[in-house]
Amino acid sequence: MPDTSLTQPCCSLSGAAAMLSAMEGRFAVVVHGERDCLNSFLAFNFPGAERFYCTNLGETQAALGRTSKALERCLEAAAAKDAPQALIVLGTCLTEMIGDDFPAVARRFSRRMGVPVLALRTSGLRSGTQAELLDLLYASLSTLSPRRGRGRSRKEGKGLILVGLPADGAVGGASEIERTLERLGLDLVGSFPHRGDLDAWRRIGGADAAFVVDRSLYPRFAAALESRGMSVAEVPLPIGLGQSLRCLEIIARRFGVEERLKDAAADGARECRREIARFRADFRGLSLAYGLRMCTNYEGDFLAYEGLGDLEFFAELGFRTALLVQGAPESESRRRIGERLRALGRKEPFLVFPDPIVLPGILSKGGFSLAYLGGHAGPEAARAGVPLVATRSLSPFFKGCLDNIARVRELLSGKG
Amino acid sequence: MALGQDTAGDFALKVQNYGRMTGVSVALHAIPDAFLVLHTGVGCKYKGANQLMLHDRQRLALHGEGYTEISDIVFVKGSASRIGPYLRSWHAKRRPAYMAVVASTFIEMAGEDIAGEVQKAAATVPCPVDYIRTLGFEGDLYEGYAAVLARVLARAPFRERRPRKGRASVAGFFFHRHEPDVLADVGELDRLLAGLGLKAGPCLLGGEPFARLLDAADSESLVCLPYLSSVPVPVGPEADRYGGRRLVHAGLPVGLSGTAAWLRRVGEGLGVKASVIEAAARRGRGEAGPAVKTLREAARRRLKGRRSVIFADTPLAAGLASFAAEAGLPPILVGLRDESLGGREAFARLLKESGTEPPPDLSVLRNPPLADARRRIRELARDGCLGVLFGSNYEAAQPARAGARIPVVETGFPCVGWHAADPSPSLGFAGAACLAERILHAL
Repeated sequence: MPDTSLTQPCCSLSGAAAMLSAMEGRFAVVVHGERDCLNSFLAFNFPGAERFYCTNLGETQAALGRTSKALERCLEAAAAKDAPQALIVLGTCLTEMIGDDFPAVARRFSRRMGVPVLALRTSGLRSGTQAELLDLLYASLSTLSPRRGRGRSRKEGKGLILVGLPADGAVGGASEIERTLERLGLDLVGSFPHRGDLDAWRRIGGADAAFVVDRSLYPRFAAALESRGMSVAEVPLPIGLGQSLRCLEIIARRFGVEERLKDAAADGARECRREIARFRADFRGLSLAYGLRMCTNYEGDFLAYEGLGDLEFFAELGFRTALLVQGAPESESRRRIGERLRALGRKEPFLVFPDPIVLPGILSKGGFSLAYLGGHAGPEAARAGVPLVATRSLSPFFKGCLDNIARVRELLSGKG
Repeated sequence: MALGQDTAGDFALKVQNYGRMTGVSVALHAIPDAFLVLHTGVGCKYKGANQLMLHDRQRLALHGEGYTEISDIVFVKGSASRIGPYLRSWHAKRRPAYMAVVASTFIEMAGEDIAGEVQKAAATVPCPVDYIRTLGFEGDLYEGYAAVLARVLARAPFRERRPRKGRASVAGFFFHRHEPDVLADVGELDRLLAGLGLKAGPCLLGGEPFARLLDAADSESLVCLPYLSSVPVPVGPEADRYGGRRLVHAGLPVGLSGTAAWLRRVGEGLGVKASVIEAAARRGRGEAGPAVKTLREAARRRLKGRRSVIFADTPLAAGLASFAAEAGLPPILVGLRDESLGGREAFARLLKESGTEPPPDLSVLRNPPLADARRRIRELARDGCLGVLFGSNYEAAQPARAGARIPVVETGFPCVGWHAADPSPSLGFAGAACLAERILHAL
């Protein structure tokens, strides 16, 4: 099947490892393959890398298919060392190539030791979309929670989870969405991935509703939540004024707290409206180069709406946009990307480029006022003299909207 | 072995877990006009340039690598035939002077003739191409790096060129980023050779283009650093490989006494007069000595008997241990972040060569599990024993996690949290002064 997604394909092992190393909690991850597979993610970047183990399969074990003993020994050692509440086994290209039935070993071990063991058939061989990986991982992690009714929310009937919202940069204290939900009298059971540790995954059965940014990313996960009797609703990526308001309205409506929301959101929304109007008065005739398919980081907010989730914010500020899509430059690839964009309802002009190295020419020729591209394209944007907003570096909700406007203003004024 | 007898450490992620593929990637990154083709699936891309992305802010590693996009279908049909088209396509786009090809383990195990395919493809591009085996269960980062060094050295025309008198090249320097710290280290090596009255030829690898590296063949002598030690030695005298050039093996010149010892070892090995060697050592000590003395005084007053912890590859660890000892911060714990550079024995030998006696209670761990290493650092920090930490990004955050505000010298690979704006060497006398200043600044 040709990949028609507007996001980069990925190795599901890399993706799962990166996400699990960023997740807090008492669990261990076993990579079932060769030692070097532990380098298929940036381990140094995550404190959670300490919880990673590898079965260190050698040539003979792989060639003869004698892998189960290595996995059992590794699981035993990891269980003895960390007393984990869960073990997660990730497959690799090597185990995929030899058709290793490691999920059976994991099931046996789980029964014997009484510890939940999730076995995921990850690998780079069956490279799929990042969204597929995200869905697989979330659906699997959700099985760690007891069925609905156990571990109920603190506020009966008012528990919710959020899925795929961007991080808002709040360190230590409550984020804007947490404060808003508190004012609405709702109980946030977990927000995945940024505030979703293992305990949150084990508690999700206590939530009544899930709000998901771009539901199409999570078919299996959504089905798993609904099978627990949870309602699942889609919300937009809360970037910019309009999308932030719509996101909060959907949540409030589900719990019948629309009136409370009017109070809770009034000040923030008013301030955003004022700033947007000021910006549009100060800057006119702006054009934006909006990059797609440039990043691989397995984050739901990057993947939402195929990377187009931030576009509405720039439209609010009055930008005209051209889409720059990284991909194979052949006409067949261009045709497929065009079809996909049309299917998503996009009417902006688009251009397919093979590699960031060609971006300076494209940006200069296009006369763009601003570029929204993968952060690694910074040198290319600088060479073209076009200020850069790195992909998905915008902040959510009203405070985020004000910060984003200030940042774009600074960049356009040459102060950023 | 019976079930249940393994320890978690046998399976755990180590402080240095990188394999050969990453080492090849680091080496190719060191050559600005080289290009690496990864005949791999999409995940193996992370073993290459992605590991360097946050480490080197001066040069974008991604521009030096491409991959052949192996999926399950491609793999089943036979993937080796992709190497040629991809090699040619990347050559056309980037015009590299040198290319290398590596392949994932599962592809290697499928039994296709990758080496033959690379050889065939190499004939279709106008630059040298090497195939380097990078099985994921064999070797470490430094072996991958050394494998590239060996290929480059093998291409240098030692037999064809006449050596220039008084010219020496360093071979086996670990060049891991194009930032001012590593560039300054190359400069320091040149300066040390100049102090011995020698003219420095190209450093392998030293951040220079491929053609320039081959000019090492003009050198009369080669100063072989330990990162060359993983290069397999062919049958026969080692010097034959380099057309009879004079070879001298040495550790890294780190710290005052370590650098002085290095000058003596290299100078004597290359027949430099003792008076010239001693004059160079005296001059260097005179320049850098005051900074180290200031640090020693500050450590005595403010760190009151605290010790240093060092996590680095074996040669660098030995050098840093020597420096720390003369700065009044003798090491209490050393973690050797490699598996191929000689382990505890090499550490002890290199430390001895630098003229430093290891403290009797020094604990040396060979590539320990990351979790254990971090826990040990945190324990020492909490107990108030830790005065300064030298380590990579894997270890750098641990004192802070333990609530200890002590100087951390982030160094080695990967080094993500520290990026020098000015030349900041670790090697040579200037390196000793710079390390002392970094610690004093943090104090």
